[in-house]
Amino acid sequence: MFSGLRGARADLATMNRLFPEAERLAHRDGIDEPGAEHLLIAALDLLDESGRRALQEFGIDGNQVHEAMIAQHQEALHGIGIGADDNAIDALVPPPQRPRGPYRSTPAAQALFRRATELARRDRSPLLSGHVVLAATEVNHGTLARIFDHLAIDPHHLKDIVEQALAASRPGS
Amino acid sequence: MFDKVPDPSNTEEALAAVVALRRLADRLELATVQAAIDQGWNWVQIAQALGVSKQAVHKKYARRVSRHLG
Repeated sequence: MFSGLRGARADLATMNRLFPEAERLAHRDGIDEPGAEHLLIAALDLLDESGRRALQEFGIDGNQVHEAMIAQHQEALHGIGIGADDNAIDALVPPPQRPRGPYRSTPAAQALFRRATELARRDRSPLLSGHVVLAATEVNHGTLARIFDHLAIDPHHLKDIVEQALAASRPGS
Repeated sequence: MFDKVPDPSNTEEALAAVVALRRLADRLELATVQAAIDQGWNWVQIAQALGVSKQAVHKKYARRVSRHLG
C-alpha cells in the first residue's frame, strides 16, 4: 500500500525532480514558465518507463513530443499567415539558468500535475510517468491535445495502453 | 501583419493561434533582449523600447540573459 505520509513524501521528491526539469525545458524553448507539455516531456525523460513504454507503442519518444509541440505552434501561426524563423530566435535564446526560488509553472502544468497525482493515489502508487501521460490524454483542448493530434495518436487508445503499462508496473502483477 | 484573421467560428484554431502568438512573443522578446544586451544596450534603454519600467524588465531578464563582459 502506498499512501499517507510516505506517498506525500514520494510525490514531493518527484516534484522536486520534475518541476526543475520542466522549467529547464521551457527556458530552453525561450519560455518563462513551463506549460503542461514541458511537464509531460520532463516526466518522460526523468521518471520510470511506464509513460515511455506506452508512447513507444505508437513509435513516439520524448523528442518527438517536443518536435510535435513546436510543429503544432508553427501550424497555428501559419493558419493566420505568420511564418516565424524559429532557428533565428533559437540562436539568440540564452541557455537555461539553474532554477532558483519557488517553482513556477503555468496553470495548465499545475493542473496536469494535480491530476497525475490523483491518478497515482487511485492506483496506490508513487507518481509514475504513466500517470502524467494518462492525465495528458484527458486534456481535450489546447497544446497537449494538438500534440497528440499532430502525432496521429488517438488519446483514447493511448489511455488504454498507459493503463495496461501502469497495471503491469504494479507489484505482484 | 496577419495575412489572415483567425476564423472566429473555428474556435479551436483561433485559440491555438493565440497561444502560438503568445509563445512567439515571449521567445522573440527574450531573444531580442539578449541581442540588445549583447549590443551594449542598458536596462533603461530596453525598458523604454518595450514600454515597461526598468524594474520590470530587470526583474524579468537580469538572471535570464547572458552578460558578456570585457
